[in-house]
Amino acid sequence: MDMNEYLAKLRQCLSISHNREETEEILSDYRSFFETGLEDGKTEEDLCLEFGPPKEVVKSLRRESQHSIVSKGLIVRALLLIFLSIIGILYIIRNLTFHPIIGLTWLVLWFLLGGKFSSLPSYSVFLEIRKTRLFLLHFLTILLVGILYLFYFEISKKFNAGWLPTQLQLRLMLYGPILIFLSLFLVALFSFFTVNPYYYSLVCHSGGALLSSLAIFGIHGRLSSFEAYLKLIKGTSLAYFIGLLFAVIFYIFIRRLEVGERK
Amino acid sequence: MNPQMKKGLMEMCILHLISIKDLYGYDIMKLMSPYFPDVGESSFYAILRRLHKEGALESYLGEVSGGPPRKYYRIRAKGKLSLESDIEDWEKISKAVSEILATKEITIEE
Repeated sequence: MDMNEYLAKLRQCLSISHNREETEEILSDYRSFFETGLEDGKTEEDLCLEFGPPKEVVKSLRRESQHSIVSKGLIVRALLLIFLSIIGILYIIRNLTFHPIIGLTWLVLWFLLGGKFSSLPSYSVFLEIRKTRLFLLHFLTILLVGILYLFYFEISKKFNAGWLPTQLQLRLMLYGPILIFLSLFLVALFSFFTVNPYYYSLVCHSGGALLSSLAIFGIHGRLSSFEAYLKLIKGTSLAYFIGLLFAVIFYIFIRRLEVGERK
Repeated sequence: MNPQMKKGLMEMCILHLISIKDLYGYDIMKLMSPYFPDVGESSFYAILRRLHKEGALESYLGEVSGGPPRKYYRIRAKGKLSLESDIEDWEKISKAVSEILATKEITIEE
């Protein structure tokens, strides 16, 4: 391998886990290391060996940057958000409707209390590391969850009016969301382990969404009356709650990673 | 040896080297690697970048005749403080460990 090949490979590896600015910075550092090494009378091949494979460089950088993912105040925020979610879920189960103003207040509270740990992370993570793909996947997941909920609310209204779906419509309604969220979840999980630990929040979101679509699937046989609708709401809410538990478990996992990294 | 422990020690060594003299990334890699032959040079670079990000170090570009400018690292007050406390801890621990390891006989008074 010569210098140009090495730097090209390094750029390729960095582009997955680092933003453009950082990538350029690291590349220019390594370019100057090469120049210095050549001045010392070493060959490009020697230097490639000494610096180690580009993959290893990126791995080392990632190991070091895992420190800063989770700060101390996050556990308090996480607990506040869980509390807020429970209130939201209880409200939905009791009243079976969304009041726009209450919904909006709830959302504002969620973002204010949650900071980095709320869905806002999609945004703050984006600001922090500027990974467009991560941000878009986040946005897509949240959007899909919203659409799914609206969709089922509409469907349940129709059910109440005596409408019954055909077999095909039913299948699409049941398997569609599961497939979508399962693939998102797998992408997130894969990315968490291989690309970037910042993907943890996407894992939580898509995991929660997957569970709620599974819950809907689980109770679909009884979807023919108002009582069934009630069960549907309770089921999905419960599933989202399990999703939140998932988030906490993941949070603890990240935390342990971080503590382990510290010393 | 536990990799986390080793990393903490490497961090202390890098901070110490920079506290003596402003250094270029390449110099640090070349100074450190003979002492830690089983650690990839990229680890030193990664530690350096983190220390810089955390505000323990600052960097500036040094001009060199011919060739691209080099990024030198200088220690900041925050880095000095953490170096001092690391060295203090290290001295205590290394003293304790060597005493324990020098123990040949154990007598416990009843």
